[in-house]
Amino acid sequence: MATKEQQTIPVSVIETPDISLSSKEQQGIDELISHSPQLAGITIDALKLIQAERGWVSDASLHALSLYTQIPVADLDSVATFYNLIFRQPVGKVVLHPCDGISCDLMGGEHIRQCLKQQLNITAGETTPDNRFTLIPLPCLGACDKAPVMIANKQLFENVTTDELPKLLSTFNEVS
Amino acid sequence: MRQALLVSKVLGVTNMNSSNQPQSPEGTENLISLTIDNQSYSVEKGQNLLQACLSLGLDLPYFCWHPAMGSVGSCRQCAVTQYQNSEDTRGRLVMSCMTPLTEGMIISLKDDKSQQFRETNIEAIMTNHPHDCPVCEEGGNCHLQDMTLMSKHINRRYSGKKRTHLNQFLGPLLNHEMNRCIGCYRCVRFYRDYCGDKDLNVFGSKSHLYFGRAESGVLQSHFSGNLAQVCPTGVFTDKPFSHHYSRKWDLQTAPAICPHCSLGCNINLGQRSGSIRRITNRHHDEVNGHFLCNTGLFGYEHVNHNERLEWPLKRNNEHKTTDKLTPEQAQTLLAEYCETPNENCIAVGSVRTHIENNAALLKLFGEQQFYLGIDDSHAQLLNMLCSAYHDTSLSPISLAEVERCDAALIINEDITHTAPRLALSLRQMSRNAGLKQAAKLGIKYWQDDAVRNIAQTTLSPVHIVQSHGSELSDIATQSIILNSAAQTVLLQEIASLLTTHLNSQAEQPASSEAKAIVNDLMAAEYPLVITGVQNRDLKQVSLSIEIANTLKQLKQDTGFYAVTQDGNDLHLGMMTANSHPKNASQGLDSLLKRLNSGTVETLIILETDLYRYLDKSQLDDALNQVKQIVVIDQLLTKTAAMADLILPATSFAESYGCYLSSEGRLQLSFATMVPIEERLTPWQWLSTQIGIPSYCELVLWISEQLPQLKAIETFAELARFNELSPFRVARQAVRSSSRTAIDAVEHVKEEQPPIDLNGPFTHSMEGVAGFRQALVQPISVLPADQWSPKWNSDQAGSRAGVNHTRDQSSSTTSPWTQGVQIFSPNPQAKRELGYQQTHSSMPLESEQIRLTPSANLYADFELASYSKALTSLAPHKLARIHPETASKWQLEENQQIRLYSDRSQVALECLFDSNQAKSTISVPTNYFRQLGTWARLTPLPAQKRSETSTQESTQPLSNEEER
Amino acid sequence: MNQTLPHNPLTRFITDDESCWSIEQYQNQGGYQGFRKSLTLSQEQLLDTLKESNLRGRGGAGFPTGLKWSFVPRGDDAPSPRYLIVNADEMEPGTFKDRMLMEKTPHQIIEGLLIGAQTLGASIGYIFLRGDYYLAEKRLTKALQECRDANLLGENILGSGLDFDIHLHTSAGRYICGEETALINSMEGKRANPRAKPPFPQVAGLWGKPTIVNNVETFCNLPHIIHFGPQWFKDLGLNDDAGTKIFGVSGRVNHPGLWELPMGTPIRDIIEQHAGGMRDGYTLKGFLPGGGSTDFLVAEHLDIPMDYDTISKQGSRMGTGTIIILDDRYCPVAMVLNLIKFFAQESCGWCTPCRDGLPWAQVLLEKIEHGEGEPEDINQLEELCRFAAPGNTFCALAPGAVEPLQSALKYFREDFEAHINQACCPFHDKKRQGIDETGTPCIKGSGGDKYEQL
Repeated sequence: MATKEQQTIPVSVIETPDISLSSKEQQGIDELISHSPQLAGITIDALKLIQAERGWVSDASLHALSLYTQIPVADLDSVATFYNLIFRQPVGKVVLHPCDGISCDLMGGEHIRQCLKQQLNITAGETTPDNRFTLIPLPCLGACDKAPVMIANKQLFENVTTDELPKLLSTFNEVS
Repeated sequence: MRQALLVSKVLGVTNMNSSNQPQSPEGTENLISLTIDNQSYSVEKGQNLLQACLSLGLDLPYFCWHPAMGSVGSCRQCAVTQYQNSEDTRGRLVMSCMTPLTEGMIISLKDDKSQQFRETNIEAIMTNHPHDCPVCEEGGNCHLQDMTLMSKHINRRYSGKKRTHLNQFLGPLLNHEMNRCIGCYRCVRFYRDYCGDKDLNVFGSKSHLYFGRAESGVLQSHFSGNLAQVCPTGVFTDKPFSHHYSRKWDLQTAPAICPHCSLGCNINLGQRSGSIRRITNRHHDEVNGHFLCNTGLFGYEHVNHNERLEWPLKRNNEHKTTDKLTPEQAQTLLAEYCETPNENCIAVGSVRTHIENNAALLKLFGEQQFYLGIDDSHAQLLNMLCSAYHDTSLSPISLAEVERCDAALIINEDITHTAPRLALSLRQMSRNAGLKQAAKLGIKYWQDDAVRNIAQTTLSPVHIVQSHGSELSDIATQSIILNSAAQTVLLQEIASLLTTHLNSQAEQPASSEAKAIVNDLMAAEYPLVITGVQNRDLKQVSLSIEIANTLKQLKQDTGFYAVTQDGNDLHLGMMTANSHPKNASQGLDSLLKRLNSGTVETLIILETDLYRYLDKSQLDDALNQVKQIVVIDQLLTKTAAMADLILPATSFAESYGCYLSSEGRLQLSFATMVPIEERLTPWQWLSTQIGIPSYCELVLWISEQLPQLKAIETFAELARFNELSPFRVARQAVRSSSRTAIDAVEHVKEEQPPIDLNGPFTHSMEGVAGFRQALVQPISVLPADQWSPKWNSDQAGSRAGVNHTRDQSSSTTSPWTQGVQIFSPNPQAKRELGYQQTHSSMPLESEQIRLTPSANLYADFELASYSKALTSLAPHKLARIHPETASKWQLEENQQIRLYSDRSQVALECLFDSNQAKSTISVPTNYFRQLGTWARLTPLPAQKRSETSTQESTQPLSNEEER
Repeated sequence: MNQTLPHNPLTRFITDDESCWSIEQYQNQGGYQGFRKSLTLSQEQLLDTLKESNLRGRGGAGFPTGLKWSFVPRGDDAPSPRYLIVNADEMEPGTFKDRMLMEKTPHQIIEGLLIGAQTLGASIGYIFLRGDYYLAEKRLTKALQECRDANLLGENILGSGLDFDIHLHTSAGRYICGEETALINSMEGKRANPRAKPPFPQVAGLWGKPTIVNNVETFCNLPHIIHFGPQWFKDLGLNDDAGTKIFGVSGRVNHPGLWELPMGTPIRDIIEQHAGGMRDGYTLKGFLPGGGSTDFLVAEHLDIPMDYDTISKQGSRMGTGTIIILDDRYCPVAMVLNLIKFFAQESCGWCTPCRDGLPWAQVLLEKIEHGEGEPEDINQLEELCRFAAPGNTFCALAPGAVEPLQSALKYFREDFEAHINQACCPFHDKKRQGIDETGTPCIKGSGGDKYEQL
């Protein structure tokens, strides 16, 4: 198709993505497209699908997705940067989501987060140098009666105490 | 209708208590009365409260609303207090942009509650703004500054950190400074929703919004330059302007007409110290509205170019030198060359000069000796269009009318490149089906977000018949790619289907495409047919006229628009129509024959670079047979370099003169600056010989000699402007700096401004602000610079009423601001067309292939091609060919091919494009002009080239290196 | 009350072994009876039942559900398809009721949707689930498959001629998705900015088609209303409001948790009887009655009943009905700061008072909490509360966000003043240690980090 990309000067030529979609990803996206009344409707699900496969959504992944779906990169990135759970930077093997909602804070949540930071020696949003952990506090995880809580590896940890944090982290070490 | 107009005679305001009630044409049923701060007003229905307040001349701050883009309610700046009834003393805040007008509504702008809210709101908006006005190019021309002052926010209380952003490279047209962003979302709404382009977007969320591209790179939109004006502050600023920046108040501006494509968009041309600094949009309801294309916005560098001619020059063959002449010497020499115009003396008119200049040449040499600076088929097409407009009930509609249509058929014209602003209007037109859906739910057209949510993907039908893919295909119902022969068949089917409707005959068999097109056109209330001269296809344009004409008989409201090719080419269709038999050629092909006959002694060429149209070697030979060549031009073109006498001409920035747009709108372009002494407007070079000393007399001569251009006589009064009013309009905006202080005379070293004897403007700020003049002058012109009290920025022009509807009695009907439409539907229109096209496409020989032009707005317009920023955006010169066709010719991708016709030859790299019609090959417009509609094709032996082939590897055989 | 009629409809199927998430157990307990009954009723009858029941939306705003549903165009020429969406994007601070319903009785939601489909002729349902609710996702996915296998979803459901299917969409995480029009934008794959209203989603929502968005708990009520009738439902409430409600308590109480209780249950009963009262050493200082975006109430309000109108009269809102307790040892400024920070983070960035007003309030609160506040700051905070008042903003996020702030300034003003006068937080010894320098956790993906130069 005679797109404007082809007609303009080299500066705007989009780099060929070095990571194209795997056949599994392509199948998943085809499936999404078949359900959605309009193409754009798949954007969030497609981004989540890519992230599930790759851990995060890189620029190259965005281009690959755009190339496959014909949704403009700017549209994909506009949506990707809007949502909390789409990671546009690489994350560690385990993403720790300690709750920073008010109910957890009332029960000492802030202290838990502080301890996590100290033990991992990173601040919120950072990844440990060994690439094991990324710390991303999330607001109210909806388990306020069990406060303070944390989500990691799709698992909810309730009534977290500072004492059990080292053990908790080490179980992830074993898993990963 | 989408444009809300004002109602009253003065200031658009009617005080209901006073006795002189306004009489709007429709009577009062269209009006609504409301009370604002205890004053009664009456305004036109249908609009929103903000628009009404602005139309009434009230100062109400806003950011996200835009008259062309409607309301979304994001900035919250236009809050006012609405009271339920006269007893209600508390009222509640409403966003005026989101509030429809209701009869008897009571609101207040001046109450404490809404004033306080607006003040806090702008203080919140400004928490992240860097306050870098002194180094910001928007300073002094900034909507945010205006609104901040208007909202009375003067004291900053926020003590937190400001967010900061990295900026992006966005190409040669715009600077990016995201830290200034106030998050009004106008840029993305303009870019994405209004223009349909996708590479600008908003990223992030909360107070960390980022408006830009996914990564640095050139903005793709043909309208990206408008972001500088759409943005209420300095996030997007005009990059070429940066290179020769001037504060707005130091600019001298005048209302001018864009000289590039044929649409006749209205512009403000700003100059300082004799060089053009920037172009801004000049609002015209019927033509360009609020936006221009990039070529219009940035195509002014030819005025400042270092190849501008500054002296009359004479070739001295004896000494092999070029001699400078004084203007007097030059005029004497010119008189010598063509003292008694005879058949050995011929002239070439121009498509980029003012009508007056061509007319002067025509007067001097007579019709038989006057050639048009375009190829023969272009001339025939213009002739055909002019005849059609004269003989039938068909006449072109304005761009505003285009936006009101509800179905369109575009026939073989790539309007996204040949008439970009028309393509933008068509995009708005395609929304009408969605707007209608929204209206059914009671949603007003200006409720932009709501309308789009309701409409979703609903679009009015747009059918495109073309020889290659178009950038409008995203809004097209059908995008039909066919070669010329197949298009003709399709068009004939459409024509005969429409005829069967007209004669109530039984439907004939036809292709599904043709049926779909006819069904949509017939189902529409206001169908539109668009065609153009781009392809030089007489048969198709003639069929397009036939289709539109038949449709017009079926539906009174049928729109038609034929795009012509150059800024001022349409009037040439009239200049030779009188004495020549219909369809006789008087273009450059005929000129070449005439020159080759060897009888021409003197050739005078007006503002035409013949080398753009003709093969170099053929032209060289022909020119060598001429004794004297005189060139009147602005720049040292290749043709000018061949001249014996060169007369430097004024540019559009330095002269007064008329353009005729392809809509048939005759518009006067005002001079922004005074030319240097040695440069004359072309007709002035000829004035002694034609015996016409003044502009006024020249214009009157045209109106007598060319009946279709009779309306031009209006502009004869230009010279009387100064007599009519003692008040002259300031070219310079009013400034409020110390430069106007009492000591300015000692401390400010600036040359005394020149005096302009020819127009209504003064080169100074010591004049009347244009908007004010509009109130007092019987003849009014638009303000030289958009400004009104408290509104220094260009947004002043966006205030619904300020410029164009304030004074209906003169401003909206004045030819000085509106132009004159010269094609009125002929009441005695014949049912049949006045001519019969017998042209059938010439059968091609086996080694010939049909050519189609691939137009590009950055490459095709001669004057614009002197602007580096624009040419850097022009595409590689490539030949596009369908892979199947390529395999028939045994071509490989990226292979070099040679195309040659009896007119010229060229070598190009070929690119496979499955969106190119089969059995055709598309070449850049400039090559198409030279080669004609067909060529022989020979593959060139494959060369060993690096993968990253660039322009350098595409060497044309003939060295007509295009600008 | 009639012995055979349940008094705890929403939780009546939940058995001790918590196995009612399976279709077998759910049907054994009496599930899908309401839906089966609805198949015998006309759309008008169903809608009338719903209106008569006086059910109000359980998402927080309390809009009458029957009225909302009646705006959906009906009849043969009505636009189609029509959509039903379950708002399961539970993210209101201190709210955890929908998670319980989804994890324990996913079929109850599906049954509610099926009744909605029957009532409105909707053909597609969506469950818009919070992305972090992994267990709920698992159980809902399984429940949906079970229903498809049992012909409770799909074509010609139970031979009734009804065609209806449900898709599960897991959110990519934004609080604003709980706003129904923002949720619809998100469903369309867009940024979750709220939409202009009108048109309301009932008329033109998802893909421009009629759409009903209701909270999980609202849908869960439907099977029972249809099964036992509107009068039974109205009788469940102790005062004017009908039915029961899942109430919850979090904070320093002895037994934080959730209970299904009649509408109009006095707050004191909830906190003292069900939640077991305050923990030793802690006294109740105030509470947010219905999640993080409701106004504080204090001890004097303990005896008022939890129903929509009574709470409103006291200057707060029932919200989600999940109470957050502020104890005497936690700093009220810190609590408000936590909430404002949350709302500022979760602003979609569309309108000014929310996008720029909330971070401004956050800056002021941080100043005060860090002992750098000035008396003028309190005036500014009050001004910002007025600035973000209902009607001034594009949606309800910012007005909700300033509710705890404006009420804290009313009830705990002396604490704010103490911070300023003492130039430190008087609670600092009890305060969590080591608030980080900026106090703002950087959530990747939401901040446009790559564009920022720090």
